[in-house]
Amino acid sequence: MNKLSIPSVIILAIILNIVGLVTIYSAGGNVYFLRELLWTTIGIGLLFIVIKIPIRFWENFSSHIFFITLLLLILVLFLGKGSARRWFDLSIFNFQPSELAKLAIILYIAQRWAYKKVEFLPKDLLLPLLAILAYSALVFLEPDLGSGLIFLPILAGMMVWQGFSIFQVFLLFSPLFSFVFGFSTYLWILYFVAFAVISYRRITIVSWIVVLMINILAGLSSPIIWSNLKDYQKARIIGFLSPWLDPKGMSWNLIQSQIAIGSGRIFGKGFLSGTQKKLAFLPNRQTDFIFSTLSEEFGFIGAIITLGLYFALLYNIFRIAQKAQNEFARLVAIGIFMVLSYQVVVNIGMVLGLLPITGIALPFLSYGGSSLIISYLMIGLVVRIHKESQV
Amino acid sequence: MAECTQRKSLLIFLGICFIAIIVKLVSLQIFQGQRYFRLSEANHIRKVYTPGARGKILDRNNNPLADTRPSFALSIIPCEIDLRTITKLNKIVELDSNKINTLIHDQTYLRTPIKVKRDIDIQIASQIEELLSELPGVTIEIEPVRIYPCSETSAHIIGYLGEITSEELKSDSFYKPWHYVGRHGLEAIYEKYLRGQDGIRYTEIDALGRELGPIPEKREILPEPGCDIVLTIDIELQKLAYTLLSQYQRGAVVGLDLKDGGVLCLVSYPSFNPELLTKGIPYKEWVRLTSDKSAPLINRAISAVYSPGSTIKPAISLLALEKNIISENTRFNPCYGEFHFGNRIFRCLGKHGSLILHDAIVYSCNVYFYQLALKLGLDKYSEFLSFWEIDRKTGIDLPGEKRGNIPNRSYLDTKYGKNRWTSGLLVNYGVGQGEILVTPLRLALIYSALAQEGEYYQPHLLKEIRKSDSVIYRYQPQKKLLPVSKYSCEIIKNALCDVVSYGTGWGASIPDISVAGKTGTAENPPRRDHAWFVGYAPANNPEVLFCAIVENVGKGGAYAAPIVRELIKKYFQQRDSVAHE
Repeated sequence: MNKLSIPSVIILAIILNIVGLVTIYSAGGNVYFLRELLWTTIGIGLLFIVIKIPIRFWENFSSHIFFITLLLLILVLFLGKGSARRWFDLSIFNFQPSELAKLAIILYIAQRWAYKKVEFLPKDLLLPLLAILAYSALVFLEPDLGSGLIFLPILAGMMVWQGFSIFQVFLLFSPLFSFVFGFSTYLWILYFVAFAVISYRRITIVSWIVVLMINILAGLSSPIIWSNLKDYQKARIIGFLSPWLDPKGMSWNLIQSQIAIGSGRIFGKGFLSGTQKKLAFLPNRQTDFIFSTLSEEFGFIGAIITLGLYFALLYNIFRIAQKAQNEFARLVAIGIFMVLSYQVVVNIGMVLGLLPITGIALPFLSYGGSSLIISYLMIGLVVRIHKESQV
Repeated sequence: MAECTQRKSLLIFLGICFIAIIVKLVSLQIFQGQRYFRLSEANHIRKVYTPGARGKILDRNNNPLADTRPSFALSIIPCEIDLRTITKLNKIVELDSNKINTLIHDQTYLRTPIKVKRDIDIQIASQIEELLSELPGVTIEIEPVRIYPCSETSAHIIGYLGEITSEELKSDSFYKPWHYVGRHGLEAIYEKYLRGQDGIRYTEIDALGRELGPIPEKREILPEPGCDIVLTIDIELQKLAYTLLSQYQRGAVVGLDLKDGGVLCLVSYPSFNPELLTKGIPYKEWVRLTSDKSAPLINRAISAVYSPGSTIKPAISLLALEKNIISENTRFNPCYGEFHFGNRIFRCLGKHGSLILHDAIVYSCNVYFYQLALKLGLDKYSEFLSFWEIDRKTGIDLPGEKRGNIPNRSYLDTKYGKNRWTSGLLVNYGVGQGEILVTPLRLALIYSALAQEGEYYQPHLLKEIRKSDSVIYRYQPQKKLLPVSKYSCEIIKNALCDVVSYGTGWGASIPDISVAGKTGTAENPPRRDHAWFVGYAPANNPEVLFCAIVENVGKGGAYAAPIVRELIKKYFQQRDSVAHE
């Protein structure tokens, strides 16, 4: 079983990458296809280099990587290209520090939490939490709502892995929930009462009051932040809540995406034959909405096979995390499992209309250099972890 | 072990997410796949209706009375337009936002361009055309619009168009929301022939609404223009009649071709601009039109009734001769300018002395006809009136025709109460005053029959219907015959001839053309009298007849007779100029 896992993770990643290349060819044509092919080569090359690097190296340099990334995230706000300052123009590809940040945060938290009993106390939680807040805030500023949210599931997953109870994770994230519910007064009141009742007596009365206060503050801040959101960000949220309100406006993307997926029916319209994609009804058809293009042309069969490949890949990563040789490696593997799972679920959930449109890449499928190369890098790490656990 | 279970919860949670995704995929692609497939088909195919031009309405010499010219229409495609574009568009042209809102929410024509502003200025059209790339869901189309070259002159017969109402849309599936339908006159009567059939064109479009070209599998259906309607109207006579009437406040003229009943002209004054009504008249203008005391929308020639005045005398006389109630030599008590009946005095225009029938008609002696009416009695009198069918519609091919009125016994009983009325009324009826009411068209028909020994034709405006220049229907004249003898008719016709030669109708006389006719003056207290004249020519072999009424001016001989004279003159001028060519 374990012997098979080494090639299977790589093979699954490459198969998914091929699916992506085929779909990008159909959606974007030759130019996009060739560029993606170039990045695939770089990515696979990097994968085999990373396999050679001992995990120890990453452990030792996790803090350096963390701070360098932090610096890059700050720099991109000043030097970044594009209307949203998200990337550096490296001529071969646009380097997105927020992609690197996913890995950096995993390494940083894993290094802090490995080799000791982690407790639900500020001494163990404060720094990881601050690190995540700093990263999230910087990515939000770019502004990139979708990528900014990715750090939370990493922390949550690693906490669960480390034995924190679901309640504790919930408690830690409660200000965020309070913030989200804060957009609707009634929902917030319901949430707050439920939260107060559930958490009562499970923590000391002083902490209880402090947590409740923080929740109230978070809830109050949401209307203020709402009024400061960019119009397109507001539009996305409204569009998700009631897509047919203005079919040509903000929810056009979602409706067209659903039409593309649904019209693929069981067997799809065939390679290169998607009318939604071909006639440009589908937005971002080779990036965020690539799964819609795929589902239109290859139908339910194609979509299910792709999902199966993803599940197999993620399952194998999870298994490697379970079997890893030390706590650092285990935490890194589970962090990678969380990042990829989050991206797959949120991206596909978004194009299907299950989740709001946040703009997040589908690993190995979406067109884009940074995303692909970081994904391969993470697979490389996972393979190395597996290799080391075999010794 | 517990830790292991907790760790596995991450995987289980991922599994749950995947199941949710699969459920949604099944719902979209399997259960709703067909629907979404149709939506995606509809997404890239645009169905464009190409308008079929409405048929023309032509006069007997092929002069257009109703025609079309190309115009620019601003259309929107409901599912492609967004609110921002509408705002942008509104800065260039003023739009009816209610109409647009209903269009966007009506799901019937999601992907079809629908006209929201029609007949826009070429400058505005080109301005929009330049901006089209920034205005998704907007197109400029060329469509024919209705024009009426003769405008007010023939508005009452031609009618006008109006945008279709939602009720009409429901009751007739032929129509689409952007159609115009005939609202009045011939436009309404011959709607089914005139209307054009829209064509359908399918084009493939991309997401920005750019047309990429036709779709080979979907054949284009070409538009089919409507039929042309050719009328018996002579536009020159129509124009002349309108000009003549426009010297006065109100009036009407009917001209008939006696050989087939074709209407040569049918004018009502005052009139209105049919293009204005077709375009969608401003509310203020509409109020002005409908509240105008002169009622410009009424077609006085067929929808207004008047007392015939003295014009009824020859018609009654003819029947009195036929029934041997009088002979051509019958004289009544002489005329001293007035007639005493009961305690009332009925006046005459002059002191005519003792007259025979011929002279009584020529000088239009009231005293003679007061006595004739009394001799006939009410029942006989009203029977004579119904012989001339003045209480029936003529059945002309125009909407809104009214029937006249015959004051018979039952009518009077209802109006005044049983036996609450006296023969004094009858005296008045003898000279065509009071409750005898007739439309100008009916009076023209009565004289058609008088002029041709009881023979006349059903009046009609339609001459033929043409489809792409070939005649598909030609109207067959319908002859009608009233049982009157040639002998009695000759007596009356001689009198009518002398009315114009030296009697009250001398105002209608024309050198070289023998005109016959009769004047009439309908009392309309407290206002001035209506002037009547009915005349035909040539007197011995009648071809053409005109009937004119001018409201509230005075004597028929002075005001109506000259109108008829000019029309007859014009008719023969035209006929002769054609003959010479």
